[in-house]
Amino acid sequence: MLAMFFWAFVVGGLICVIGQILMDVFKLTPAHTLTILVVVGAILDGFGLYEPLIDFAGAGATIPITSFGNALVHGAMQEAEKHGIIGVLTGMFEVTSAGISAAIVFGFIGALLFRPKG
Amino acid sequence: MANEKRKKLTPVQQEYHLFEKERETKRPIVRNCVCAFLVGGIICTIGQAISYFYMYFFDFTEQTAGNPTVATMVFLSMILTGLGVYDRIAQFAGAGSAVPVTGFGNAVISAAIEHRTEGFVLGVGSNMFKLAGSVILFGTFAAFVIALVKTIATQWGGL
Amino acid sequence: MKKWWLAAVVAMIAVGGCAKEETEQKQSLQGANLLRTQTSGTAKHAELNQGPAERAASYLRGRDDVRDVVAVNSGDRLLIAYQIPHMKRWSRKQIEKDIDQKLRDLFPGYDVVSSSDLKIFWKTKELKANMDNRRWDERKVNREIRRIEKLSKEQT
Repeated sequence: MLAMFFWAFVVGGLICVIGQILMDVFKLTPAHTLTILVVVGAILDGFGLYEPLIDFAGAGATIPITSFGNALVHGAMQEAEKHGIIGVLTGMFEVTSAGISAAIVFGFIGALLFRPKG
Repeated sequence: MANEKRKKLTPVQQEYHLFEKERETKRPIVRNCVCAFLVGGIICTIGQAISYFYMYFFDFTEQTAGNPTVATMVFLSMILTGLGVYDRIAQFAGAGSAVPVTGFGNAVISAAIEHRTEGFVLGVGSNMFKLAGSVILFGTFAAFVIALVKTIATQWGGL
Repeated sequence: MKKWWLAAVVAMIAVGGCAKEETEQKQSLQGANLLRTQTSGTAKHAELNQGPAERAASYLRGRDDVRDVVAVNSGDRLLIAYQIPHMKRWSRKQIEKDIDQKLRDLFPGYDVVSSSDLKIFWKTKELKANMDNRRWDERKVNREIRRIEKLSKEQT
């Protein structure tokens, strides 16, 4: 369990460093950086490389935004195995629903609760 | 920047360009990377602790604990964003706070709070995904293409 | 007519009484059940012979890609949870597949459920502890095994 915490810290940190390098060295905006990371996550899962990373680093791989791309491909592939090619479309948000629905719900609650600053 | 562009400039402009480059504040890349590493690592460690919490006290396995963990992280990010703490962390951490899913949550929630004055439908509703929308769009489209290619490849390869 | 009434009343009482008796019987049956589980603990324990589980655990302990094992069997079900050393978690899927296949070959008559998940590991350990303390009878053990099995099959 301690090893899990350690590697979650290291791997999660390294993914953030990659993001920082994209922002500082390649002078991209945060939005571009996040978009690139999501696409990279999706591509990695396409080659079946993201799952081992999750097995190895736990939340270090599931918390960064790269896992969003991974989860999208994963849901699509799962459904595609069951229902053929149409599953690619229907299964897309199967796995990812938690992140987006949480963001929408809590975003609205936040807008109700908090007032804009400044 | 591109060299051809610089050649077209007048000597005075070139001089100014060098002067500007000299005065431009250098981004402290190493320091930023260390900060991003530490903050990003800490956020992921917190996520790991939350997923162990769900596994220990509820019937979630390593696989299924991911969803409630992400939801909890987004919830925490809502609280921190609403109190204005997350922006302060972001100033210090850069990508360390933007890359984890809490950064995604922060982008959505801060947009929602910011546009609240314009009303709930036109303000909050239509501006919520102003920043995070591109992530969803490109993520979804890339995933669609990849999953389509992979499905076709495995089905035709299998046949 | 009066006799009819009498018969009806007698029948009603009889049925009512029987119904009551039935519940009493049920209660007494439950008592018997309780008694049986208490007294025949040893017999039950012998029935839940953990031989296959022990063999499976000792086989897995011999592998170098397994760190910790806990195994339980009941009836034709064999439940094995293990932990993979952290550096070998990269190839977790292959290890899981390999172990599952090997166990199926080793125990052909059993319904084998194996998992490297930490939650399944905890649950199985808890179940084993409960079985060792002889607090649980076979039915309860079976139900728990089925519950863990369902949990291990859950996705996303």
